[in-house]
Amino acid sequence: MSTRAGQRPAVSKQQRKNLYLIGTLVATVIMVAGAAIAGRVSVPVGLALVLPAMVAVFAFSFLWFAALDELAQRAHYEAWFWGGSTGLLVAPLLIVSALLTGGQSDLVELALTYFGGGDNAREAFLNGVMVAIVPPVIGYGIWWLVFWLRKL
Amino acid sequence: MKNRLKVLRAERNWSQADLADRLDVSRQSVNAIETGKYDPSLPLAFKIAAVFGLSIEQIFSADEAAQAAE
Repeated sequence: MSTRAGQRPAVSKQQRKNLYLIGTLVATVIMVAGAAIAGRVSVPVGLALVLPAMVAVFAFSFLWFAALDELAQRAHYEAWFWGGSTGLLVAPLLIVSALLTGGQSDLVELALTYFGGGDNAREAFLNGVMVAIVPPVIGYGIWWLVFWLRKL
Repeated sequence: MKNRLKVLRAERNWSQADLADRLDVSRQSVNAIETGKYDPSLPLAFKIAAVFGLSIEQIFSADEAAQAAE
């Protein structure tokens, strides 16, 4: 510990946390802008923005997480494990459903309706990516929210 | 786990935010510990004890149910 307990540090953990969060958000905006530029204007210019911004997002979010207090970190651990894992169950559920019905199940139709896809292989691939990402993120958010509602 | 955080804080006329500031945690964390909804880690328990100038045992104690089970 750098300071004795009860002694206020010059810059508190909370202040550092806010600073790192702002850094993460700014780097994320730059990353998204870079991706938009790469897709529409120039790939080299876009990548020159995206790649350093990705490193910055990772670095700032790492520092932000380290600056959280233990209860806030616990909320994210639980949300990641329980919420993310529960959301991840949607993908195997869809696979089983598709296997049992030859791809004609209501669940598969629902996923195609929300994420696009149809018979186009490229869109179907993106649909699969979305199915693997979106439900865990939703599960993460719900679990995180419920964690805090129970603790406060 | 039970704790005397609220009493000790009141004796010193500290708000939850004051204590949170001294512990370098959020006010929500202090509230969760105080109401028994969250048991702090050992390092944080030591920090709490140091802030109040007491030992951990003088602040935290096992639940009656947990004690009965031992």
